[in-house]
Amino acid sequence: MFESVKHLAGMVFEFVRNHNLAWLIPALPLLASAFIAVFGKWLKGAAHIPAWIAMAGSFALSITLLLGINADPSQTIKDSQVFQDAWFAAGNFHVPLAINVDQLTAVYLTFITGIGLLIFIFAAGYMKGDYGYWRFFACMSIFVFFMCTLVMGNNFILLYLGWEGVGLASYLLIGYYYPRPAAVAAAKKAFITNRIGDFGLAIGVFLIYLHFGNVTYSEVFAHPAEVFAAHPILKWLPFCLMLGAFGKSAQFPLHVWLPDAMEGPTPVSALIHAATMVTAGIYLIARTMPLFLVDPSHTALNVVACVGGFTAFMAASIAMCQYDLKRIWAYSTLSQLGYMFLGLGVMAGTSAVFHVFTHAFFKALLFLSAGSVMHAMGGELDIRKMSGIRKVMPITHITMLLGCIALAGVPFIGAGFFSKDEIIAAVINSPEPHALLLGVVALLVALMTAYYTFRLYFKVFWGPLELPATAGRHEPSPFALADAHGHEALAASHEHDDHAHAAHTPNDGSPLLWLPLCILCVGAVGAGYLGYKGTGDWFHQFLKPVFQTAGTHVPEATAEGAERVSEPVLLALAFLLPLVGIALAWYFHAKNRPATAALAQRLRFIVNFLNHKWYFDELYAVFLLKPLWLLALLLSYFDRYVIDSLVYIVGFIPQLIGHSLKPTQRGLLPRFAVSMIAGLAAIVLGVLYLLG
Amino acid sequence: MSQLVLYHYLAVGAILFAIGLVGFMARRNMIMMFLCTEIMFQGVAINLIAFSRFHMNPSGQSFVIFLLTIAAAEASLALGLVVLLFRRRPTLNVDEWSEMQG
Repeated sequence: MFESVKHLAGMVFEFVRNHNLAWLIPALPLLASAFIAVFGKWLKGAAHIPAWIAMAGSFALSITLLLGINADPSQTIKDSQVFQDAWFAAGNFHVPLAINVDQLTAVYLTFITGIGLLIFIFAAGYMKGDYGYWRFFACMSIFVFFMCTLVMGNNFILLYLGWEGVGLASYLLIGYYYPRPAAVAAAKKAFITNRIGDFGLAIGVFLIYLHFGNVTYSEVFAHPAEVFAAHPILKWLPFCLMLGAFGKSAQFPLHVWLPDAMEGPTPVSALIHAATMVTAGIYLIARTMPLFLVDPSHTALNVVACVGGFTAFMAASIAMCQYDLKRIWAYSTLSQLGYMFLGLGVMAGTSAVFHVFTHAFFKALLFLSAGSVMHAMGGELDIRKMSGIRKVMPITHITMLLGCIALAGVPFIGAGFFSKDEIIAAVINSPEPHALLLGVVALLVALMTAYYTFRLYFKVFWGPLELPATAGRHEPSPFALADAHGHEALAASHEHDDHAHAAHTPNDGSPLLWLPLCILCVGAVGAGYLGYKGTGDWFHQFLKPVFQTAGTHVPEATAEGAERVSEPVLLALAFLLPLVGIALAWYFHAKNRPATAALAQRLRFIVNFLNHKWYFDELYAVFLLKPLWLLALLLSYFDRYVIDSLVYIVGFIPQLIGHSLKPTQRGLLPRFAVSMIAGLAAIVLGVLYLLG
Repeated sequence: MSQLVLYHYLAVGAILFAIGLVGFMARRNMIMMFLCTEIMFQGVAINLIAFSRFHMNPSGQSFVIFLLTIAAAEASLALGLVVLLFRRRPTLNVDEWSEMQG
């Protein structure tokens, strides 16, 4: 049975490879999106069906590619042209619409489409009956399409297309509840913050085109060192690409958009945090690693590592003092992304991608579980208002627990244990001078992660049963409030009213909600073993070629000689820290809750500082928004009084002439006659004078 | 007295034209002003006929026939306009009609 499936997969892989059909992976979600967008009004509640089919198809193809490349690493798909001719050409500049699928892309595609599919299934249950159900699935599908384009393109232009595309799709989805002003503000914040990063990437792509004369990966990565030597300005190129990655992956100082992106529906958060969007930054740096390695002192990579380490610490500290269920997970994503950049910064590329991979599973699981809780609690997200809900939501309790275990990195159960500790080991043993400090920060963050994860878990699921007043009701649709949307919105609101009247006890909801959670649980526990040395270390062996061609050696935790901290000590720390964090969380949030309140009161300065997210929004408001606003005001005055005055003066000249001639126009017929005759006489005299 | 020559005719035309011109500028009565334009017309017509005769070319005379026809049509039109104006406001003084001032 297994053999025949494997055989079939091999055949499909050959077929896809030989017929250049890999483009079907992004094409299917695109088709689904177009179909839903056009026929959505008629599909109504069935709008998820085409999206499901497309995602399932893409996932099947992705898995086939992964298995095929795994079976024979030489069989990667390279420069597979979708069209015979260039996608577009201008002068000597040709951009092919062509696809690369190597190990890195295959891994990315697998979790984008796989976890995407589970999120889509969850979303069908979660978004049921919401106004704009089809709009939601059209946007989600196009999101996946752009993400696939981003990782599959064989050149920087396709990467940029996908890059901007996910920005657009995230904007549409974060602002999904557009009658709610906070959602609109969050969507704009996400888009504009991303634009700053995109600016860096755009400059990077321009630099590459200018000095390499080509945008195809294979050409650019062939001999970067020679081109860098010929054009000194290229030393800024890694920094440009880095800025792009920081914007999309929400690293300091461009991290502010991600927590606000919670305004979108929960499946969107899961998609943004787990499968798409934020992982793009890691992909960009992993993909362009050869450009980062040209500089022998690795300045850019060190910056990546430091920013990653700082973001990991900052976000983890903020997550410890937040009260919003989804916001805690959002900061946890920032923190985990920081780990990934830390890994990239010390050239542990496979470890970083491994963490992306495991993180995708457990973060999707955590978000969807949070969504399930939110669904049952009638849209309430404040963890202070709920307690002990394990009694009413047994399945969600288990899935959330497994997700928390994975995120906290409980040894051998959680996937995060394997990937995170690998990064920490790589950081500590990196030869860079500041690596030890970063390693200590990373260890500290591991402790904090365990604490804030289980703080949420114990607070929400343990203790006496307490439910918010809205529990069991449907969250009132924001569209029900806006009358302007006509019949459908009103119909939806009536439906919601009916449900609201018949408030039921909160529970796990339909199988559409809990089934994907259960599947993700398997991933959250099992994904770690794919890269564990004790179980064959498939993941790293598989990814190795990507980073080998990039000229990187993968620093192993067990590399001989140069170790700063011996492996047993690291292992002991890795075992101990999560457990200590969990124990602390248990004591403060399950065992002795009053003590927490007293402690928080004593430390209220720190708690406030963290609860206000290090006052980043306020700082940006004072130091960025205010000066920009003043500049805008100044410029508007300049425009109004200087530029406009010049225009007015020009306009005043004809007016002046008109006014000065006005008195001659008295409207009196005799005057007309006199002037006519005078004119005639003047002409006659003039002619006579000229002739005579 | 010597024979009548071209200059005499031209002089009559010029005198007629001048009379019309002065009348047009001096008078305020609309109908009188209109008559003055007709006098100027006749001065021009005499001019044309004189030259036609002088050059022994009849096309000038036939041109004047057309001119008179057109003048008749134009006169009826102009008088019609005057009547219309008079209906709006019972005055023929052109100084009263100065809506076109700037």
